[in-house]
Amino acid sequence: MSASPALHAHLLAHLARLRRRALLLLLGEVLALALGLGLLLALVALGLEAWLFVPPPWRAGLGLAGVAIPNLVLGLQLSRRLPSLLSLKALALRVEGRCPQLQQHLISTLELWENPRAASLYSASLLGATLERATRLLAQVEPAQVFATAPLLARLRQLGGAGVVGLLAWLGAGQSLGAALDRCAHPLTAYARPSRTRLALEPGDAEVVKGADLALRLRLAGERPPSARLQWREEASPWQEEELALDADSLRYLFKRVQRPFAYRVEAGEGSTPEYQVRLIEPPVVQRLRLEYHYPAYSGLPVKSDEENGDITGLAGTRVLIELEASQPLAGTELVRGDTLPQPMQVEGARARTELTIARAGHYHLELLDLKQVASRDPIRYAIQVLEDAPPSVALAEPGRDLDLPENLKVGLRVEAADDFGVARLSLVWRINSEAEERRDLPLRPGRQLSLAQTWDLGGLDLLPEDRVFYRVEVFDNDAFAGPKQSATPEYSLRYPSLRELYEEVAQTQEAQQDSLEAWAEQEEQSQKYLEQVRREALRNKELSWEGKKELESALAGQKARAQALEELARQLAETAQKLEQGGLASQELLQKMEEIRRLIAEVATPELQEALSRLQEVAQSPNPEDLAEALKAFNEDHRAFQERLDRTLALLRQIQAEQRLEGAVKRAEELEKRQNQINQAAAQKTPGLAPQERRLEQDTGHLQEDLEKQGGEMGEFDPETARQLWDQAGAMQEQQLAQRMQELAGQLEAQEMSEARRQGESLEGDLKTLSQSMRKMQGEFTARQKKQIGRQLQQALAEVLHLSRRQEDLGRQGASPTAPPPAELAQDQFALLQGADLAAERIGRAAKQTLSLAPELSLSLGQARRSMQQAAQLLGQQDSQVAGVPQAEAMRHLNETALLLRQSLDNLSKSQNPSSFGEAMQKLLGLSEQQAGLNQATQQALGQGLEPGNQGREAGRLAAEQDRLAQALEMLEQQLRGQGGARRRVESIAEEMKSVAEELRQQRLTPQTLAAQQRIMQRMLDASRSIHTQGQEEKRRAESGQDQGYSGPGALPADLGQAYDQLRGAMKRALEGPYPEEYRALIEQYYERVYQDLLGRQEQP
Amino acid sequence: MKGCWLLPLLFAGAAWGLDRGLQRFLETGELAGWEVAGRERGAQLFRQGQKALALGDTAAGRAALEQLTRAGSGPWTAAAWGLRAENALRADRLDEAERCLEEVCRQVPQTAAWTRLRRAELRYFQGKFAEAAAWLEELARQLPGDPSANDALALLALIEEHKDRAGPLQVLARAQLRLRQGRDAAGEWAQLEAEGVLQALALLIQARWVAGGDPAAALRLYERLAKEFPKSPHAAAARLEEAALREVGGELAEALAQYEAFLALFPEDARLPEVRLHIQRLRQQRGNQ
Repeated sequence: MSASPALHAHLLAHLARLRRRALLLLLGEVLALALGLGLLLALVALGLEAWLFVPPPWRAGLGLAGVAIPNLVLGLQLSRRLPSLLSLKALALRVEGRCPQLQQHLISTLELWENPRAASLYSASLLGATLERATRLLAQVEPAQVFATAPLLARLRQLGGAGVVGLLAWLGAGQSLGAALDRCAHPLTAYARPSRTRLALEPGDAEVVKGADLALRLRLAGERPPSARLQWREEASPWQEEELALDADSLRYLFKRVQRPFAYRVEAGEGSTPEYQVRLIEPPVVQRLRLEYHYPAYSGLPVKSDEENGDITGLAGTRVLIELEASQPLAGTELVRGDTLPQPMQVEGARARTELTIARAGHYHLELLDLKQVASRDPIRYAIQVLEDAPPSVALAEPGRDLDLPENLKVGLRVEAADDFGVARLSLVWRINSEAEERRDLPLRPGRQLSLAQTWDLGGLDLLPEDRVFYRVEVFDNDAFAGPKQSATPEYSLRYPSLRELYEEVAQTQEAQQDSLEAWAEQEEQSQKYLEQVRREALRNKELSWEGKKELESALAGQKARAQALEELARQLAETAQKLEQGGLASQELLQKMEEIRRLIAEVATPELQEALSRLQEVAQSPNPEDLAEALKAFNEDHRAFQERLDRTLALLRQIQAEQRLEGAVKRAEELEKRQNQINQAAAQKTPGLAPQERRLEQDTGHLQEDLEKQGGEMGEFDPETARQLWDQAGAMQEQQLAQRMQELAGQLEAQEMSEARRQGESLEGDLKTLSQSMRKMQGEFTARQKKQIGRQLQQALAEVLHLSRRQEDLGRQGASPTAPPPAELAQDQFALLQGADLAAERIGRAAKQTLSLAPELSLSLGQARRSMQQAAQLLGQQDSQVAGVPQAEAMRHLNETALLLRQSLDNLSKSQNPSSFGEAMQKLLGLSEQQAGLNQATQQALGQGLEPGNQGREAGRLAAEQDRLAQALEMLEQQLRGQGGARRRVESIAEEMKSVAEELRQQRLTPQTLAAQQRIMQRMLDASRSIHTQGQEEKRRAESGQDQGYSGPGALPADLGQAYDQLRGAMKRALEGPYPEEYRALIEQYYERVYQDLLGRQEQP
Repeated sequence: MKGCWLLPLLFAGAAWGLDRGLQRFLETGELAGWEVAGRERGAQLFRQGQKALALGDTAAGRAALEQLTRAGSGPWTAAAWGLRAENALRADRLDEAERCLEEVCRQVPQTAAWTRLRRAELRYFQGKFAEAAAWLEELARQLPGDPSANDALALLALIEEHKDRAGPLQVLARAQLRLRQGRDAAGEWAQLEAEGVLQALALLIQARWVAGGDPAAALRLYERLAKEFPKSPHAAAARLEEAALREVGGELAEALAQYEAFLALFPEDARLPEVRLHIQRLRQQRGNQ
């Protein structure tokens, strides 16, 4: 009996285990049933809600039902089946029921062992055996045999089936079921029944970068209407809408380039979307862009900033610093060149910067990224343009055309060169005929624009007559990046003409001019006669016929044309004079005369005549003969004066041409001598190739002989004595057989018979020297005779005018006397005086045709005297002797003025033959130049000291007074130069410039320009003094070596006196290089020495 | 003592009054005005001077005129200074003449042209031709309508015509001065003749000088000029003046002949119309006779 309790416990434990299993299986089965049922119910409820959209009470009921029913089933199952598992005996019975082999052992055991009296009733062994048996049998029972899992699994399968159904339903109508589930989760909430068309709009509320597109996607569910309405509005503005056709369940729509925030929604059928808001995001933009150009050093351009736009324009090699300021802080920025080459920029806040170097043309843009990673939109594309460093330009402003070489073989070159970034070099390139080119650089100060004046001395080129020098100027710029570029002027030529050619050319031109003048003079005479006839007819009150009017118009048109043609003739004459001057074919005095004649020709057709002509042309159409007669009268008066001027000009032209031809002959003779001398010298050195030169000399000698004979014929009209001398000279040349001997000499030179050649050459040179000396003497005599004769005429006229003046005085006194003769008698006397004045006028007119020395006011003054005399004669004729006294006194006054002018004319005449007057003028001018130099220095000091405004004003006033004083002194000098037209005009012009500078100083304008003007004045004074000095001096035609003289405009005097000294020394050296005669050379040296000593003295002063 | 400071003022006032009186005395030589009885006295002195000058008594003339000019300002004073200048010229005191002329100009500015002419003439006589020419030119330029301008221009023309022959011109000027002084200039004329320069002009001047007193001598000189220097510019003047002299002397036929000769010899001369008119009048006059 001791093991039985344990066994009993074992049995009980076994049963407990079975019971636990049974409970678990039960609970699992019941729960699976409840869950499966609940799931199905929920599906049903959701389906109903989704389908019927039940009201909240029903929805709540369904919900409760869905919860309650499974729980109820769960409760019922448990209550029904659980008790049988909680009692061991019931369990034992259930086990025995499932396991028949147990028979009732198990229950019996349990009852025996639980019955307290069983121990007493039954033996222990029985009890034990029963227990044992029961235990053994129970142990043999499999738990699964008692409590099978099959029901549980069946329930679980049911649950799984319900889950599958639910899943399928969810899959099939998940959205609806979801919404239904949502609603069912809020059973008491009232939900409106959803429309049949359901819309979904993406992206709903959105943020868009300003300017970007916004894409909408509309999805439809449910019933699909044929169209949808898209509506949008900006802020409070009315809705705008657009009908969209719905062909599918979804639709895309694009808002392009959104610029402002807006709201939008869509309505379709019963459905509509909420109102969505679109907000804008501002992309970063460039607010300020600054370019800083650092040009290549060679360009000399300063650093330049540009904030106008971002286009880059610069020279290749230019470094450009690009700085930008954006609208908002930046996360990063790139400069993209040519769309492909990004270059990060250095960013600092809203600023960014970078550098690029211009190499070629293209473009770039800037891409910005702000801190929100929003990129800039539509970046501006900026151009990168490479400025071409243009090739330099160069022009030869002077001479700028093909020329004949002047006598001194010096050609003034004025080169105008320009380059956009600087001219580095100028070269003069030349060749003689077809020889090799030579070149040399011209001195220059590098700059962008150059105007270089340079005298090119071709003396060292050993030119021969008829040689041609071809030349051009080349210019190089300073391009250090791509290398210097080059340009050149066109090629010009300089021809070295022979004197004979020059003379022939000039003579032909002059003959043509003279012929023109003669023809015009003749036509004028006829025209005058015709017009006088018309006037007379008009005076007879006879109206002109149509033919007459046409004839008059034609005559007037011819008159006008001739007057205009005179201007052209004056221009031609100026060209001729220039040619003569350049060829050294005429003396300064002769050139001055030609200039005077040119002026005379230009003044022949006076404005008064032109006006009278115009008036006459107007009146010619008038039907009133009186108007015509009046206009003709006025015109004829001017026309007579015109005719007289024309006659005088013509006569003067003839006279000048005769003088010029004579001078030309003299120069040609001198040239022959000189050429023979050169050949002789070359022959002495046994230079080969001299024979052709001698032959040319022979030809020119022959031509001179012919021309002398011809000129002898022409000169007879002016001076028979000179004509005879010319013929004599021609005869002497013939007798000396110069041409033949030259021919022989040429042969000897060819045959290298040098000793004979030398003898012959010396002999010829001697004869040619005699010839040239005789010619020069003859010219001097001719000039002296001419001047003496003109002087006599003028003296005679002066005496006559003085006589007339005295007689006029007497007559006036007589008239005023109480014992005066009758007025009629006095009128006769007055008329006789008037006629005398006419005769004096004729005499002066004759002289005027031979000389230009007459004072221009002479005819005016004499004319006024004549008018007063005429008036007095008329008054006396009217018996009014008292009143006649007034015009008589006037007449006397005008006659005396005429006498003074005649005296001045005589003075002019005498000065024109006395070169010493130039020396005096030059001395004075040099003295004034010295004073001007001092004044210039004072101006420079005043400028350099940077005076206070008040002090500067006082100093400027003092300088102005000094400048005025110099101008006055120069005007006095100008008076002394009367009769020397060119020199006088130069001095007059300098005086004018002085006055202008003085005026500037008076207005306290003390500027570097003032100083420059003063320097120019001094330079002009020195030039003028040299020019005056060389007047009348014979210029020798020479071909000798010389130095080019550069001149680049007046430079300012430096502040230090030491430098000033050097300049003066230089100026003296240059001045002394000029063609001064020896007697003045010392004077110039003295002048500069004085200036120098003066400056030195000032320097030494404290 | 309060009024002591007035004494210097009173003294200064008295000294000023005394000084003015003294000034008057120094200027006029008279302590009292002479105007009361001086007008007649002045005229008397002036006439004395004129007379002495006409008689060639330069000393007497000077005495009278000096007395007159010392008296200060009066109606005759300026004229007296002028006469004194002429008197000094004739007495060969050219510097004094110059001072007298200056005084004339100072007292009567309207005589500026005349005094300038006279002063230029003095320089001419002194051989200062450049100075004389400058004075004459200035006169003629400034006052071309003044009666003195004709004389000035004539003298100027003479100087300038012969400016290259300064020596002979000086001799001529000296001769003219001597004539003016009433002295003999035979030496100068002889010198010019010996040098062979300015002879025609010398003859003309001599003839003009003597024409008033010795017409016959003048005619001889004119004839000589016309004969010896027929191409001289002075020959025409000589012929006309000779004709005029003969006309005055009643030799009308000879005068006419001279005038007609002038017409023939100088057909382009500006005096031609006058001569023609004169011939016409002479013929008319002869016809009337």
